[in-house]
Amino acid sequence: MTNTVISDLLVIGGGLHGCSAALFAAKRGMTVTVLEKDEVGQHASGTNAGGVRRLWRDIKEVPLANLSMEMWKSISEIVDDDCGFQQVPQVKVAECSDDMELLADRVALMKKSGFDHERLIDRNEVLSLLPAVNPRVEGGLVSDDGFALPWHTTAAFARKARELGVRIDTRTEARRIQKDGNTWRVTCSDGEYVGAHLLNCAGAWAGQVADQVGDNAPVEPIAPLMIVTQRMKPFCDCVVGTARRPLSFKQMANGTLVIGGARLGRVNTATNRTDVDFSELKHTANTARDVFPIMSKAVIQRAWSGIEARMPDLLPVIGRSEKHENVFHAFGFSAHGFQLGPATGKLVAELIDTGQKAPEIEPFGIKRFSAKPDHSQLLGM
Amino acid sequence: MIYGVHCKDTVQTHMAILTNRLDETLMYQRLLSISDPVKFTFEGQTLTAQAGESVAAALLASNVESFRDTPVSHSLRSPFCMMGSCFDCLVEIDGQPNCQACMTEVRDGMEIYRQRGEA
Amino acid sequence: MSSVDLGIVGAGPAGLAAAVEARSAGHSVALLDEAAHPGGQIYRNIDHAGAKQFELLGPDYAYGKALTKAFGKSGCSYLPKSSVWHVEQRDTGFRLSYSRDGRSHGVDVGSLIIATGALERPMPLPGWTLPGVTTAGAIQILLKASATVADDLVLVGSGPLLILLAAQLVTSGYPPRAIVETVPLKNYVRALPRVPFNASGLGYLYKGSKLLARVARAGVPIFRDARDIVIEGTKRVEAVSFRSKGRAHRVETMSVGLHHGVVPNQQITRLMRCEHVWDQRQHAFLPILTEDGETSVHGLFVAGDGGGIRGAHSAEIAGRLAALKVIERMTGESQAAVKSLRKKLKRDASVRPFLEALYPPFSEALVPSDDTLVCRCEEVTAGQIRDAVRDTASEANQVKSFLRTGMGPCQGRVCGLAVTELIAEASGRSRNDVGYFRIRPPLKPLSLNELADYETEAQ
Ligand SMILES: Cc1cc2nc3c(=O)[nH]c(=O)nc-3n(C[C@H](O)[C@H](O)[C@H](O)COP(=O)(O)OP(=O)(O)OC[C@H]3O[C@@H](n4cnc5c(N)ncnc54)[C@H](O)[C@@H]3O)c2cc1C
Ligand code: FES
Repeated sequence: MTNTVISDLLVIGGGLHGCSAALFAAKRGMTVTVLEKDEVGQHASGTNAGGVRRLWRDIKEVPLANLSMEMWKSISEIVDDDCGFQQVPQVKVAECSDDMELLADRVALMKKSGFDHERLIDRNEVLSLLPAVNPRVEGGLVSDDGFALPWHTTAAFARKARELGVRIDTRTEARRIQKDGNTWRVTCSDGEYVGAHLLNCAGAWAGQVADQVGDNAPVEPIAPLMIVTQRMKPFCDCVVGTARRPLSFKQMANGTLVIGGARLGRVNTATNRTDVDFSELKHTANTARDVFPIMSKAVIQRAWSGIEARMPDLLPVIGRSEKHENVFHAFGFSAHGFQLGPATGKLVAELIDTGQKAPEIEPFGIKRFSAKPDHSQLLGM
Repeated sequence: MIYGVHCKDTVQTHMAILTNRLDETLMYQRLLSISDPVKFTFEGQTLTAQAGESVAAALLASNVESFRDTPVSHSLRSPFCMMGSCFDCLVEIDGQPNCQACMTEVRDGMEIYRQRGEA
Repeated sequence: MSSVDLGIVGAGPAGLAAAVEARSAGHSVALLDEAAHPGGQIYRNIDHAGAKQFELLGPDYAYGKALTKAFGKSGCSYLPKSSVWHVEQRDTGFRLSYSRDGRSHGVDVGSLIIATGALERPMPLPGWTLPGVTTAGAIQILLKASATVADDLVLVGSGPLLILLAAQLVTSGYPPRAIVETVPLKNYVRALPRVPFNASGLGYLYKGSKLLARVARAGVPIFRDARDIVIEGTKRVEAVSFRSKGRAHRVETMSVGLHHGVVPNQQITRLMRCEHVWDQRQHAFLPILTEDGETSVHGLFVAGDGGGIRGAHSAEIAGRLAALKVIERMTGESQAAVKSLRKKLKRDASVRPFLEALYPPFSEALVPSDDTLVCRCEEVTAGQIRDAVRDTASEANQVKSFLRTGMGPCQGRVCGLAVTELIAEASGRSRNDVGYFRIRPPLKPLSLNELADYETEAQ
């Protein structure tokens, strides 16, 4: 390919956030091109646990998560595909009385901030929601959340975006990013792309993209570990975590159990390589068995990890670049960005198109990481 | 012409003979009689096997036809590879589901059940 | 956590020969195998087989006795019934995690030889999932391990192993009811110029013709050039129907044995992300190896059929060769026997071009009809895979994400190559571009209890 592709918006990264922003920008009439170095959804977006969770989010994220939840409920209208989305309760169980206090404090904090979707429940109510749970639990915290199929969801957003005219070039790595007058010129392995606007949705690789436009983003690549078991008879129709121990536990429609939660493998972003660390996953297995004794009959089918971006404050970067009017960011979702996909894409597209910054994304500016020397001069831009 | 091998045109004529033959035929035959017996149960029925052989071999030699039905469509399956790769021989042994019958040595007193759908 | 100089996975001829070689040079060796006894596929159960089995299986089987005997005396730490479920690279070599009698353990090894042999090539034909349909290998395993035979077996497919099995069954007094042979007639002409005119090659051909003669003498009907093969039945197999030389046939039977070749077992080399490349002659992916069997991962070797199908004798030579390479690395002394073993290996492989030309995979099983199940575990049909390709998926791993092919318990061991073939056919892309399933640990399903109780330490 030698022709230069010219668009209103160039998106770097074909994960859920890149595809979602592209879809909403196309709906607003922009011409959009997405550059993806591997395949759509190959990394965090296609390999995550699929939790559509609001429970226990940082207060700053709650408004955005609430908006996204409304969009999930009508996800078929957005992408013509149900994405395997199921609305189910999300329960955080308390394994001891200290845990109960922790959960009660949380409810109080939420109330003070005007949110009432997280509810404290007692032991009996936990047992009626989760008949297979260890009867020793003390109680729990519940909210009306859900889960979806990550890879299918990302593929559905990409498919719909393409239908709306978005060009998605896979196996196309953005190597050099240069300002060219008022536009951005991106050099890939096999061609050049020019965009009036640039959006950085490069996940674990977003730090390098930010660096090229002179923004500072301390992105740490991580590899959250997941387990999936063989099919079991249905025994759990909530998404389950615990108050203190890392766990994310759900039974899919086909009967398999998908288990994860904050345990990390090893990752190399240059080679896309992740290594599963069973000395970590062993703890996940232990927690799952403690919470659901029936899991002692489970058989692990597969373990894997995807490559995700983590920020020091565990909050994403969403908004305009510190240095350039026409550069935007949406990355660093720190292992909980799947739920935020629909709303973030919508609000970022709005920001790019109209310049209006919605209050839901206000807290996530990249400025919070500034105070570092300006690299743009060093790079000769 | 030997039994059961024929061109389509003659299917009808041979059908009667064939049905007879199938009635008498067992799927599998032991060439040696059991010298070192092991007793176990399958679906509650007591069966005998030769010590040292796999659960799958023991069940096949007892002419058990299907070992499990699939979690996806509940269709019947029996061992396909006998070497641990296909997982079509899954049974429940002493309460533990998802056991590969072809990779498990049969033992005295084992209680074996078909695996029905998901565990 | 115990640790040894050399780890070997697989106790077939390749693994056993490697162990004996490394032990004779005084190195510590651990050999792990899922099976209860040494021997691998070809010499399965050899230390416990009775006179009956030796009589049926012949001198090629009995040959293995010497190997297991040498192995038994070698002082190798032997871990039978041990299923390796994970291999990790470490600074000092590799760590193997394995399951034995319901508990998991780890062993650290300096170098590693993978000798996990071959798997049957997938043969998706209509009805191949019915009870009573097995691989031909399964029938042979029943014979070797339990002296049990199928009463009215119909063999479907092609290849030397199919003929060997038929001959063994003839000797057992239970000849197969019929052989439905899928070799196109023109192949006999095509293979002729590749007849290996050397002692080793002609030896193999002579043995093969004797087996064929034994089958023919027993009056086993052979239907040549078979096509349009359908395995019929509702709750179990009832018949095989097909066309042979222009005529329709239907053979009633209670058991069908399928075979059209074996292919390297790639599970561990894929897990370790060794480089693989499509080999058109073997019609399979092979790990890229040096002359002495080292993969693209330093210190990780493959010996035997896992590196390309060459048979038991070659496997034994390759096992010794890989072990000598490991010894050279550890001692810094070059090993005199390397050169002659390399030569032997070449000579022993001279019959392969002939066999590969005569017995290519059966085309109907490479591109099955739309309603044929390809992935047995998740029950995905060829038609669904073709639809997924139409719907933009053009790689094995995309189809896996789309349809769950290869996500069931067999992890693609049975369907993997069939899925690659289908995608290649439907998309027009090369098999190297289509690729193969990414293999994730555990290599075999692992009980959650076992992981929770696994005593291991972090790196
Ligand atoms: C079903 C079948 C039947 C065959 N029949 C014949 C025959 O009759 N005659 C003939 O000449 N050739 C036959 N072959 C081919 C012959 O087996 C090979 O050419 C030769 O034995 C290759 O030797 P090997 O050492 O490479 O592999 P193998 O003998 O297959 O040994 C590999 C070993 O690795 C073990 N293993 C695999 N994965 C793991 C794991 N994750 N953890 C622990 N252990 C593992 C297996 O249990 C096996 O014991 C057959 C092949 C197959 C597949
Ligand atoms: S028969 Fe294939 S795994 Fe047991």
